[in-house]
Amino acid sequence: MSRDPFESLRGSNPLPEDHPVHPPMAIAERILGGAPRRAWPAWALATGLAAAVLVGGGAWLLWIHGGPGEVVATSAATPTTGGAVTAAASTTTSAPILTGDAVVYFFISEEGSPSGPGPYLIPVAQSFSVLSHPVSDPVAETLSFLLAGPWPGVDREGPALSSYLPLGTRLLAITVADGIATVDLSSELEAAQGLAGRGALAQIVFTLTRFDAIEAVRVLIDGVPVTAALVAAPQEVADTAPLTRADFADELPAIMLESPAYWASSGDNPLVVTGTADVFEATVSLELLGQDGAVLWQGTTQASCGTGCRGDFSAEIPYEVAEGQFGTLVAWEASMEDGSRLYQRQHLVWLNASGDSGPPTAAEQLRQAIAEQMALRYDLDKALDSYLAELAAVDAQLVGLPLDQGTELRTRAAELDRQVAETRDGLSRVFDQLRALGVDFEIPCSGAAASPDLPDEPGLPAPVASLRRSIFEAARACDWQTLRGVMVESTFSYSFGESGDPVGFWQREEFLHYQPMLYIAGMLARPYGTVPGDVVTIFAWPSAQAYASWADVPQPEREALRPLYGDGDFASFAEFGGYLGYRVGFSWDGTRAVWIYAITGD
Amino acid sequence: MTAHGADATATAPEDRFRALFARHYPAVYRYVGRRLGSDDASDAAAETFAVAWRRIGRVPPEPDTLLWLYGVARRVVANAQRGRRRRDRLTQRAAGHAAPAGQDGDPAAALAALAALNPGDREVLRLAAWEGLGPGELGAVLGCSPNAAAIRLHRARRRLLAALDDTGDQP
Repeated sequence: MSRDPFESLRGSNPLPEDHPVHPPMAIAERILGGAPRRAWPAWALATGLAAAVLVGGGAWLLWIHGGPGEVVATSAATPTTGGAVTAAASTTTSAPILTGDAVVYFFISEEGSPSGPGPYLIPVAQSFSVLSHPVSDPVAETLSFLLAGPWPGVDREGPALSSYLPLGTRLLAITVADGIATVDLSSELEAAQGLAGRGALAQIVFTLTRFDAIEAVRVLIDGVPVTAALVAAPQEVADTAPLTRADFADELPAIMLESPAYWASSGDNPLVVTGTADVFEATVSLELLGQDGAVLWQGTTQASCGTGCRGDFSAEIPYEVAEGQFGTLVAWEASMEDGSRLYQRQHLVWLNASGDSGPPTAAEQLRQAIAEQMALRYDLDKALDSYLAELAAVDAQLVGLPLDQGTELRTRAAELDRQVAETRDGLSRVFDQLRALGVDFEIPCSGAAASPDLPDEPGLPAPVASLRRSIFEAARACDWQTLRGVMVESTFSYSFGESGDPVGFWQREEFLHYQPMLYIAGMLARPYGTVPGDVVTIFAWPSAQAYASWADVPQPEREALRPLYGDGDFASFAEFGGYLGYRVGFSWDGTRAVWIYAITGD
Repeated sequence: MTAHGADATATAPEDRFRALFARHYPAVYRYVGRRLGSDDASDAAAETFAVAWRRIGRVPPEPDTLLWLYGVARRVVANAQRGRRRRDRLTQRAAGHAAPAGQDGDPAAALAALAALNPGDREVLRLAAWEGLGPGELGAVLGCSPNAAAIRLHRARRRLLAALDDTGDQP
């Protein structure tokens, strides 16, 4: 056998490469149930479920769904339909908030026509509220709501809505001329083939033709007109002919409620109902139910055509409710045999109480959401402070305590650890949400607590000394702009597994009371070490990191780490074998000093 | 938005995640299992992928995906061990380094010697011996240059040998 233990180490792999492991895809789906932190942060507010979605052009779309109404905020674009958009002054942000309903088309699976249970195309109101941004193009913005898909969580309140538009499909361009919209979408759309492709086109055509100025739609993929392959019935749709609603009549339920849309929040009274239907003798039965199921109105209306042809219908439904609520508009065909309900359709719609000016607007909810986050932050801040203080006290008592003593203290420390971690998780979510809402909020500056003294280090080359001073001052002032200016972001390292935005990372860390600026300023004021290299020398603060092992760090240099680190930390460094704390390093090639890292842990 | 400015092979993030999960789960599971034992391996692997999903926009494309995941897994393992450390200080101390002695070339002896090293050395040795990473890959996981990784590995192997002599000397 080899004398080299490394070779026998190879042979003693606890889980060799051929150890069979099968990826549990159910776990993947459960992880996907959560949302990517930056691109799609999940909201969990006390009032209900909320989620954020990215829309075209890098805009944020934030949506809160809970109780009576929904809220959507976008960071950079204002989706709006031709419908009403109202502006309201915000009390918590400098920008006014715009609210409205964007109506897009999704598929719903329920009994809806003689040919089966669907899925059928229906209009869905994506209510939104935005911190005001320039309204660019209502058509494009509505399309971005369509591409974003049904809001996560909406299924909890009703039947599942689905979209055939592949996630990730982007709007590249849209023009409208002579009643024809030409919409260019990214190649992700090609993933929708056959019936799915046809469904996707139907969604686009219905969504766009809801605008008065648009009667037909040409769809391009990366500039190329969609081929017949994308539609199930090529003989019916010529390759480049603009598509109209008529091309997709078979995607509709027997009774199509066009207005109010599913989840409509306008709260009109009387409720103006319009739609199309292909029902026996053109008779459409309608009913409006309150939240408790009480019948508020019942009647029938005649479509312009029936028994084998699709006709338009409309009705005005007056109602009275004591308080605002989501009611249900129901439409059906009464069976000629027994009067039973056929092809029933139901839309949840907001009903205003008499005398109400409107539903609790999305804007109001947005303001509430911001206020809630601010209040939550206050509470979590307080809690975190007290946990951290107690943990420090407990840790101090544990230092030097024989291991067979202090069981209660150790238990308490573990409990506090957990509470600190949970509180930080909560704060981290608040941080994400405030960021996503575009709210200007205060970020604490731990650097202000650092001593203003920066001892001279005569041994440092002048550029290194000057860089040290700039970073020290910027850290004390939490001067993010200067910090950004003195680093090369692409090569700067600040925490493994992260990349790209050290300042954003530190702001979050400040928000979570990790006090990165205090530590950076504090480290720079302590003795430095050097790590010589072939090309560059690393100047490293504090000096402790320049030693191969904690045991090698001279006592005075250990003492210099106080009070940022104490006996408890020293014990953990000793256990680990090396300095584990914050560190800052510059590279020096004889002419230029470059700030290359500021790292916690590891 | 997902593909603005990104590579031309942009797919839906969910699909990308499913693909990388299916492809790399076994390697990540083995990585965390080797360090934490099989009891905690599933949780740690899931946590690693949860991080990957939260940062899906920052996961580098192949062939660097697995190395990035190792880097995340390394932090997940470190966190798990930190939690354990506090709980287990007593038992660890009591157990000491009472490693089973053995002959040279004996896997048990090598493992005992490995346990006697500092965590940095341990990790670079494990990555090289068990994950089979080369210097460039080691650098990617450890966040240092290939050169530095090679030096670290070299030093760690020397210290492993020294530690083997120490533990091996025990009767």
